[in-house]
Amino acid sequence: MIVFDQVTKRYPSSGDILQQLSFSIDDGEMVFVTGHSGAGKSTLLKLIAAIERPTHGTVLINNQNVSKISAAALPFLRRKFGLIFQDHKLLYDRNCFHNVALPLSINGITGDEAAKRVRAALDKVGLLNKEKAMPITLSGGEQQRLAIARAVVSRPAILIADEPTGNLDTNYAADIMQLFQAFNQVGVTMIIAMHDAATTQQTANRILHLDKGRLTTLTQHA
Amino acid sequence: MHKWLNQHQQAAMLVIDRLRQQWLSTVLIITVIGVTLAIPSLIYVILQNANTLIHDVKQDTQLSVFLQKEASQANIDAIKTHLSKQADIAEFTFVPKETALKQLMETTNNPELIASLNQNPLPNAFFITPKSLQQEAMATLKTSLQDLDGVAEVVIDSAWVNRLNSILNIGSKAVWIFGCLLGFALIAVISNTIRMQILTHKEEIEVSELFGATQSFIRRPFLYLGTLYGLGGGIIACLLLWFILYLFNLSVVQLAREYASDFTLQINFSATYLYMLALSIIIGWLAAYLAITLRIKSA
Repeated sequence: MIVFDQVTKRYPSSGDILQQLSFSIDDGEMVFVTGHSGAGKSTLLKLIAAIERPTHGTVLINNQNVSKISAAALPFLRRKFGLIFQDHKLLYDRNCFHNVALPLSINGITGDEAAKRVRAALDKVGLLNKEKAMPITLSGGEQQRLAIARAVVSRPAILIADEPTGNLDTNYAADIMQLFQAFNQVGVTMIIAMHDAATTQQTANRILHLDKGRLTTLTQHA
Repeated sequence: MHKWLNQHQQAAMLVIDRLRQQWLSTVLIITVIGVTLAIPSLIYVILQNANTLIHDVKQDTQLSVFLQKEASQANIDAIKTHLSKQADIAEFTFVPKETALKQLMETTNNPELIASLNQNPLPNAFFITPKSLQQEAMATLKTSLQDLDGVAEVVIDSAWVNRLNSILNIGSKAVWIFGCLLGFALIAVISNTIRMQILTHKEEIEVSELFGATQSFIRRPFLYLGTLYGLGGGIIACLLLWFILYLFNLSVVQLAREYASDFTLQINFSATYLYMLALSIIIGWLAAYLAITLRIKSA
């Protein structure tokens, strides 16, 4: 469970990016964060993933206060999340297999067990036949799916995706949304930032809409 | 424990693989380390050997007691009895001035010149081998002999040895300072190389942190890198030192033979090489630790 209470994030250079946000996300929920670019979507996701800390207010992740967490405990909190970025952040000096294996080796899982899980993750995103390929040889959609395989390989409870379909054409985008829904159905909490509202409208999920750093609508479908 | 070992093995394998991929720069950096370490070690070994050599020379140290020209036979006898009673004298010989002149004529290339002298310029002398070679003991003995009747001068033959010894002491101090300075230079060079490596792997570090890597996970491969640089450099230094000493020894043995000595450059093999290797590894590790800590602080 993720709880935001009166959260404000201010950067010295650009003022308040987020102002007084309060909301909560239940375990197993699928939530979209929408808004124009610069509305603070990425900052919101960074606060959830404990990449940034709030200037005011509290962010609770499973009853852990992110602002008060020690530097030594932070890596272990981060392992609860699978992160997917618009620019993939793949490592181009190694093949697909080793890209996906990275979070496992961080968790101390290596060898056969790791190989089994890497292949399972690659299979899930339909890239099992590309395990030896270098990421640079993949198409944009394949690269994004590889990033998703990497995000889910260590079986995190929460998946956070920042504009995962931003650079993709509609066919690829639909593929990826289907993947996300499949993860959500097996109980993974999904938090997805979306630039274009069109994709989100077809879904029956909650939308957190940001406008200039404020939460304007909290649509509760279903 | 198994997991911990596994993570270390993984980091080490990763680094070895990377080193193999960039073998040229690896060879260059370990050569730099090796040469930088070998230079002060070589000077150190040479100084050590000079010390041993001097010690050997000191073994034949004597006190020369020259008598006054007007010293009587009674004086000589008195000194003889005095010397034979001294506990701190191992042995002594008396060389009368006639014998000394004869020896001089035998060894010089110009005996005519000496024969032309109308008077023996050499004094009667005692040559004493003391029991203790300690500088203080020799000095005490010297003063006690100086006061005897008929003694003109007492000379410690090892005075030059002591002076040389002092120079060598200064030399070994200098080599330590020189070594420390080079050590710092090495730390700077290795740190900088590892800093470059960190920059090359900037993205990997960033992504690893996002996926919950601990600081020690991120540090580990770079610490291995530094350690391996140190190990490689240390091995090169050992090989260089061995090779250079081997070359030197060829000439030294020849030179020593001219002096009818069996002196060769000695090196306490295992110890010196092990120290050098250990030092090199420590320097490598330290440099890596420094580089990665600075990068974590600045991030």
